[in-house]
Amino acid sequence: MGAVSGAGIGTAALWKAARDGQSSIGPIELDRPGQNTIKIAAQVKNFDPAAHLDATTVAMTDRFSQFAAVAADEAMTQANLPREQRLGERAAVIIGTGVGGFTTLDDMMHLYYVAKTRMNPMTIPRVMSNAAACHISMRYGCTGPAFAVSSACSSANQAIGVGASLVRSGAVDYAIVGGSEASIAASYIRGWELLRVLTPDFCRPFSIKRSGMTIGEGSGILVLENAKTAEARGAKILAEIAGYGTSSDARDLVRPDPEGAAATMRNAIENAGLGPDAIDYVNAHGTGTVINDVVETAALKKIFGERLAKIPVSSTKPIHGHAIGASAALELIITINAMREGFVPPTINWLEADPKCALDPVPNQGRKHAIRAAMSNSFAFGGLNAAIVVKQPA
Amino acid sequence: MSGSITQDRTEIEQQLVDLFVSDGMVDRSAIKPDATLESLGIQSVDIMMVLMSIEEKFGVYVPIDEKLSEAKNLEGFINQVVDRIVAEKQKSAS
Repeated sequence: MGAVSGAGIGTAALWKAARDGQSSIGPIELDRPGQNTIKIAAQVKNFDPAAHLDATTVAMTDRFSQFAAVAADEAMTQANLPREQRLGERAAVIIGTGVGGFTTLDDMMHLYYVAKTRMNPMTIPRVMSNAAACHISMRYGCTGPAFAVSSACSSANQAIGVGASLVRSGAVDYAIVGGSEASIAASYIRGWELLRVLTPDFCRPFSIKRSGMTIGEGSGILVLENAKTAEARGAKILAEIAGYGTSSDARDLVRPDPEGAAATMRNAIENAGLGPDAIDYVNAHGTGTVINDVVETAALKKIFGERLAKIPVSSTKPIHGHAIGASAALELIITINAMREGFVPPTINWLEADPKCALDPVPNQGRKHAIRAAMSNSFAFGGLNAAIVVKQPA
Repeated sequence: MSGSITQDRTEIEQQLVDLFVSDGMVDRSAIKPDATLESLGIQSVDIMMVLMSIEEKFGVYVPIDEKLSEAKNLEGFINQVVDRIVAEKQKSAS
């Protein structure tokens, strides 16, 4: 697994922040500031692409592809699959993103329309949503299926789920999957402000007095591998991707539906060959908006019934922000770490229980908790839902 | 001082009703304090348009938070928004 997030570079930094409840949200720093009302985000600070990537790659890529390449390098090193090996046609690369190379697009629109000067000739290859997947496939010589999944906040879970399905079906032996997002520009933040879902102060999921989410950025990448080949080459198996569920509300573009969210969770748990009783932890979508948290709680209640009160359900978004297309990947990495360590991360900034969110959000302080299997949720604008179930490796 | 705030409130309330008519595309004759947002045909997208106009007019960012989402009718919604605009005015005046 590999990660770039507001917590820094690497999965260790992400997990430490999640475990200890350290938020990486702070004042937004932009080269071209706007008149934003919202002045906070979880940015990846001091990211120097040249410290990680060669000059040609840096010149050809938007920040979202750079994040993905850096996270992929960490994941592939951990999986002991060096670049020289070239994985060939039995390897897929599927990377989710909400809006691809948005910061390049924002910069180039400014150059063209406002500064009236020349645009970067690499504008299109940098901006395209499939760029991150392409750069990873070139980096590791993956000549099998490579593509982007763009499903807003559910992008990474869908990418991971589709990759797991390809490995499971035998179509490929390896799938490099996850998500990447680097869209923090003043215009992008403004777009979210207009939807009124950003909090001006603290993201506090499932708590009373919550007033919205905070935007983040980063990338989470996981290497999925057929169990047989992984065992044969002596790879260290961190977790089993046991189940994937996805559904579409087919109702409203921005208003989530508890039926759709519940259907997705039910599908994921059934796909894992498990029952709800086997799930010991849920990493919630938990945006901290009024409506998401009520709807997600209602959906969880449909799945877990009375047992919901006994299952830790935390949202780590106040830690790493809502990194949109990367979010589900960052959260699955946290979920896998939680399962491996037997420690559930907290929902920070939590003040007091909201009766409409009657669950155990692991308020403010993480705790030890044995996990056999866990589920990570994501629910996107467009009514697109996706959940992944992981379990301890056999 | 309290007199001017009361006067402010009434004035702001009227301006907000005007915004619901112009940006929320609500029929002025249908507007009554106890009318529910639903009965006025106000959908989430209309709320966003109205909140954007409120920000432009009064310079106050109103997120859809717990209190606002609990507003049952037009009066409740407008009261919530007026509270924030008055609070913001007082903050910048002090």
